[in-house]
This record gives sequence, C-alpha cells and structure tokens, in this order.
Amino acid sequence: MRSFLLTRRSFLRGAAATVSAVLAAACQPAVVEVEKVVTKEVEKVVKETVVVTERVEVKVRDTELPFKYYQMGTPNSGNPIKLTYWNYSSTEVHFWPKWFDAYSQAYPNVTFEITEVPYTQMWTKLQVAIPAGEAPDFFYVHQDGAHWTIVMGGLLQPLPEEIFPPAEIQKTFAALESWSGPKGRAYWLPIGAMQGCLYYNQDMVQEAGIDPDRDLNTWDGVIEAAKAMTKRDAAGRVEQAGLDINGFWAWGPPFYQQGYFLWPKGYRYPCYNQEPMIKALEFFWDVNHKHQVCDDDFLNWQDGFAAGKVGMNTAWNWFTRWMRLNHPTVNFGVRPTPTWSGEFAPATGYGSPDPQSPGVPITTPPERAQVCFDVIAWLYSRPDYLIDLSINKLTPPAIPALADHPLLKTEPTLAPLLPAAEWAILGRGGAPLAGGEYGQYAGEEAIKASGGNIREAVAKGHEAAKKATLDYKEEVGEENFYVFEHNYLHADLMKYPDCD
Amino acid sequence: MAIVAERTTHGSRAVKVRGRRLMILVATVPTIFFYVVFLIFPIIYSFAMSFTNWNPVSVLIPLRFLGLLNYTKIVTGNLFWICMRNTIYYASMHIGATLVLGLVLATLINSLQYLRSFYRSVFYLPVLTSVVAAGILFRWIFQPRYGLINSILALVISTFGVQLRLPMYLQDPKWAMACVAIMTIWKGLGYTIVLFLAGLQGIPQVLYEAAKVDGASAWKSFWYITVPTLRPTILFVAVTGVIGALQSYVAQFIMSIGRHMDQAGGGPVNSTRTLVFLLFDEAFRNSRFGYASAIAVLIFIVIMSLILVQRRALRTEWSY
Repeated sequence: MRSFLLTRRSFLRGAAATVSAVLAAACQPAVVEVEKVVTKEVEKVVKETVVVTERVEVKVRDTELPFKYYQMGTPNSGNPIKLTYWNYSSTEVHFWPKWFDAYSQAYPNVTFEITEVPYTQMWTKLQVAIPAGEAPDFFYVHQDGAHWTIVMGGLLQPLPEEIFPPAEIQKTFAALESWSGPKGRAYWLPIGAMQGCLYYNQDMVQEAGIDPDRDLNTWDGVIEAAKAMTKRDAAGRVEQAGLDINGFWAWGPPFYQQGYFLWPKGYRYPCYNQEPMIKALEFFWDVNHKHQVCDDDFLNWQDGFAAGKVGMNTAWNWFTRWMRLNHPTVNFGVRPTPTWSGEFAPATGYGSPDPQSPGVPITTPPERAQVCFDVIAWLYSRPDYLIDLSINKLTPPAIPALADHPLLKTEPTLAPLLPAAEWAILGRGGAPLAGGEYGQYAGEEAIKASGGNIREAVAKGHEAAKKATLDYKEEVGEENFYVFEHNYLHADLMKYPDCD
Repeated sequence: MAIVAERTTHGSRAVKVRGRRLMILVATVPTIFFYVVFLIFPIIYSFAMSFTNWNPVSVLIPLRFLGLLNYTKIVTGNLFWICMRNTIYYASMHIGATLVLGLVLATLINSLQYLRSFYRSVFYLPVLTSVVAAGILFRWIFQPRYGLINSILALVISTFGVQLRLPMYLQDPKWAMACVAIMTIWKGLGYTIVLFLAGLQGIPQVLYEAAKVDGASAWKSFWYITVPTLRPTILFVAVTGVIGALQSYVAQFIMSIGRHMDQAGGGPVNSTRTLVFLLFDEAFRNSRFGYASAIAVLIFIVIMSLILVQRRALRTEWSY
C-alpha cells in the first residue's frame, strides 16, 4: 500500500503557498468590492422599488429656513470623487440613494458608496474604525450611539463655521445648543423632536366609546379609558390590558410635566430624590397595582400592543415606524403624551433630537471632508429634504420654521405630535453612569422587587447616581463633563431642584 | 575515496539538520508571532492600562495614571460583588448540572445496544444552535403569561382547581439566572455527553467483568470504576466549564430584561449581570477601558485561582 507521508519539502511548499495566499488576500480590497456589489444591489432594488415620491417632488420652497446653503465652488474642484457613507437603518434603503442621487445630479463629479451597518454594531465599529483610520468619509450620527463617545471623544470634525454659520444653524435647529460638543462647537445637526407618545388601538378605543382627542389628554383620562378597555378571563386575570407599561416606565413625561428639572443649577449631580419624581413613579406603580388595568405577568408594552392585546401604551415615537414595518395589520393611532393638566406647558417631557444629520470623522482628509460638509449643508438647508427625512422617520422636526408645514400635517401619525414638539426638553438630562446606577434601585424592576417602596428606592438610587456622577467627573475631569438640560426652549417656566 | 564519501555523508547530515531547524522555525514562528501579538501583548497592555483612566475612543481625555484607584473603586463598589455573586451562582448551576447530567446520560447512552448514535445526535443538536436564537426561544418559553411552561401549568391548575401563584421566571430576580442556566445547560449538554462517551468507550471492559465476578452491583461499578477512570475527562469538562461559565455573557445579554432607558440589560435588578457583562458595559458603553481592564485582571485572578483549586482537587496520579 502506498503511503502518503507529508515530506518536509511539500510541507514547506504548502506553507509558502498558504502565506502567499494570506498576504494576497490581505492586500486586495475585498471589502470595497463587496461594498460595490452591495451598493449595486441597493441601486438595483431602489430602481425596482415603487417609492412614494410625491412628497419629494412637491417643491416646498414656501418656507424659507434661516440656514442657507452657501456654495463654495464646485466640490473637489470638479474632479471625480466617490464618498463612502455608513448608515445604520436598513429600512431606509431608498432614502439615502435618492437624496445622494439628487446631489450627484447637481454635482455629477460626486458619487456615493453607501454601506448599511446594523445599529447595534455601528458604534463599536466606528469606535474602532476611526482611530484605525478605516472609517467612512462620513456617517449618520445618532445622539445616543455617537454623541457621548465619538463626539465627546474628539473623533468628529466640527461643522465649519463658514459653511454652517452659528447664528443661522442656531435659529434653524432648536436643540442645537444642547447637542454641541467640545469647545461649544456643533458637530452634527439635531433635527427632530422624538418624544413620549400615547399609542392606542383604534378598534378597542372605538369599542369602548372613547374619543381620543377628547378623552386621552390627561393621565386621569387615560386611566379611566384604560379601565373601560380592560378585559379579564374567568380566573380574573387581565386578558386585554387597557394600558400596558410593563418593561417601560418612562418617568420623563410625568416628571418634567410638574415643572422641575432633574439637574440643579451648575449641573453638580442629578437630583433624583425629589417629590415630582416620586409622584411620577407612584403613577406607574398604580397602573397595575391600584387601577389594575394590566398585570405584572402580562406581555410587555411592545409585544402586547403588537399582538393586539393592549388598548394603550406609552412609547417614544419611533414606535410608529416599528409598528408599521412589523405589524401593519394593527389599527392604531397616536397622541402626544398625556399631561397632568391637559396643557403642554411647562413641558411635555424629555425628548431626543432624532433624526439627525451625518457627521465627518477626524480621519477624513480635508479635501474629502470639504465635500462631505457641502453635501450636509446642501441637504440640511432644504425644507423639502428635512420634511422628507421627518416623514421617513415619522418624527416631527424640532425646526420652528417648519412646525406648521402643511405636508407634515398630511401624515396621520405625525400631525397630532406637531403641537407638542416645541414642549419636549431635547437637552441631555442624563449623564454617563448616573442613569444606570439610579435604575439599579429605582428602576421599574427594583421597585417591583421591593413591593412598591418608591420613596426608599428613589433615595437609594439618588445616592448611587450622585456617587457615580462625582466619580465620573473625577475620572474624566470636570472640563470633559457635559450635561445640557437647562437650554430648553421654555426653561423660564421650569424650576431648578435643590438636593443633597 | 572514503574521505570524500565521509565528507558527503557529513555534509548531507548538516543539510538535514539545517533543514530540520528551518522546518521548526517555519512551523513555530508564525504561531509564536500571533500568540505574542494577539495574546501576550494585549494581556500585558491591558494590565498596565488597568492603572490608568485609559479611553482609546477619546483623543481629548488625557491618559492619567490612577494607581490603584480603579481597583479600589471596583472592590468597594456594590456592583462588582453583585456580578461576582451572580457569576459564581451561574457557574455552580451550569457546571454542576452539566457534569452530573452529562455523566448520567452518557452512561445511559453508552449502555444502549441500539440507537446510540441517534441519541448522541439528538443531544448534540442544541450545541449547533445559535445562542441568540436559543435565548430568544427560551424567553418565550419562560414568558409568565403566554409562555410554554406557565401555559401548561395554568392548564393543570385550572383542571385540578389548585390555588398556586406561577413564577415570573425571567422577570423575577430570584428565578432569572436559573432560567438562563437552564437554557445554557440544555444547549451545552450534548458537548459534555460526547466527551464523556469518548471517555467511557476508553475504559477497559475487563474492569467491569472483574467487578461483576466479585459481585459488585451496577451502582458500585459506576461509582468505583466509571467515575475514577473518567477523572481526566471530568477534570477537562470541569476546567473548561469553569472558564466558560465565568466568562459567560451572551446568554445573559439576550435573555435578560431591563434594556430600556439607561440600562443595558442584566436585569431584573442586576440579577443576570455577570462579571463579563459588567466589563463589556464599562468598556463599550461607558468607554471606561481602564476601569474595564481592572475588572478583566480581577476576573483572570478569580478564574486562575479556581482552576488551581480544581486541579488540586481532581488530581489523577494513577493509571490502569
């Protein structure tokens, strides 16, 4: 029988061949090729997809924005340039190609290569890619994913003031000051007023004889409506919850509506230990335990509503898009978050400046960065683009000049939120570590585990958050610690807390 | 002529020796290179960084030497000890159940005349399943109202008219980690069974025959022959199990609740937050890489100590 022993010579040949292959593989731009293929596929899909384009084609130049586009000559001196762009939402497959194509029509020498990165991976990838010099030319920013690390870490280039005059962008984008970065500069543009909302199941509301516009403006009204919609099985367990907040105690709205900020003057540390906070948490506790419009072991707020077993829930308004994409058969409506008095003043609650603009990493060379900034300015000075972005994200813009725009009022889930947009506190109320430490003691789970001892939970949570904040300040230095809550548009109506 | 032949022989031997050395060099240098670059260097680097406020994501926060401050904060803080307790609790459940069930099931499968491969495959299938998919599936199994377990229990209760409060499983701090462990035990058991089956098939049959002649019962054969001869396999399973369980993170991340607002899961009330979970949060959510490095060093010390204790306890010094 012939033996097939590996000789030294053949091993060395094999090893040399493997090393050569590895080196060859490492040197060739495989990722770029894959991206090209993906982009081509996306382009193909975009071409074949029936996109509702009426909104964009309508020329919305009747509302002039304070921020104007200043053309700085032909981008890249007219030489061909392909910009790489990372986006994190795969559901916007048609949005960015459409608008980048519009820019390319204006400047044919500029083309784009879009890469979709899952949201959960985007920020860790960028945190590695930017220092390694492998980041795209620009990417879509998210305030939670990118601001605290990438912007505050100095990894983004500030928007150049000659293209983005501070006075103009400040007048245009309401939350700009709150979301400035190091040295008070703007690094990306906050567009939206994502805010707390009340979602209701149209069929259940109708069945219970509730008029959302009349009955769902106050927390008391919501509880009464929830009682009317709650159904129980033979064993007395809730089988249709009137109001489901399991897994999402968003304390922001009922807390801020009482007219107090979370942070004292000077932003020493957050004051969780205050009566308005206790009142807000007591309201959440009572939903299941006093009013009994839901059970603790029932489905969570998201799954329950999606399954059509919940009359109402409270959520951020990204939930509209999520429901439409994943549960298009559920017939639902949306209202601004209820308030204690039925009025929006002094605040409706805490919001986030989502959607946003792209940002440019520090690794993008000046000549390429210049074109990226030109693209951003070209897009974000256009009302039609901003309205399309808002409708695409289903979030009202925090842009005073567009607040009453008729096109926004044609979208049934967006229109009811428009009047509340200016009353959302879009500044940063939290701080690294503090929120998590507080939640350990005074989060929903902790309060449920303690049997509803809210006062003690809040006191403990406050101490933990205070310690975490002071520790963090010591670690990064006071000069690198930023919280902006008091820049709220109607701050004059709010009070500052005082706590130990 | 003889001298020439001798020289030629000597020369070819020298070529052979050189070739062998070259061979050793070619075979080992890449491995050593990767080992040093991707293992030794990061370990030393992260140990050094554990004494600083290292934040590689920031070009604005200057690197400062903090001495033992990170370590002091960790050991005097509450969360580290909660995570340590959770990790040890999880590791005990996971390793204990995997060892006992794995050994018992492997012995049973090994004793089968037929269908041995079938059962081995059936038990091994969950190993091939993605931990994320399994985690999501078990979240539904443990859902308190509509989940599989409580739906069955509710049916039984209503049939017999018993008054019983059903557990909240993943929503109850007392149950949550046990539920995660049940999933990982289910998922990892097949691997342990295969290892034990390999060990069992290596035990000489003559030992059992001799024991049978001496009148030993099946239990005594198992206890005095199977278990001692499987000691190296048990040691291997225990050591790799301890390392894996103490580094556990993904299952807890997928199955835990509390992923809203400012928290990243690990709930309820931190009951499923493990040491590696804490490390990940500090490094990638809070950008406190120096602090996270200090946690990594402490995890390393814990794992190393446990393995040394384990090796001593399960030392095998005999052969057959």
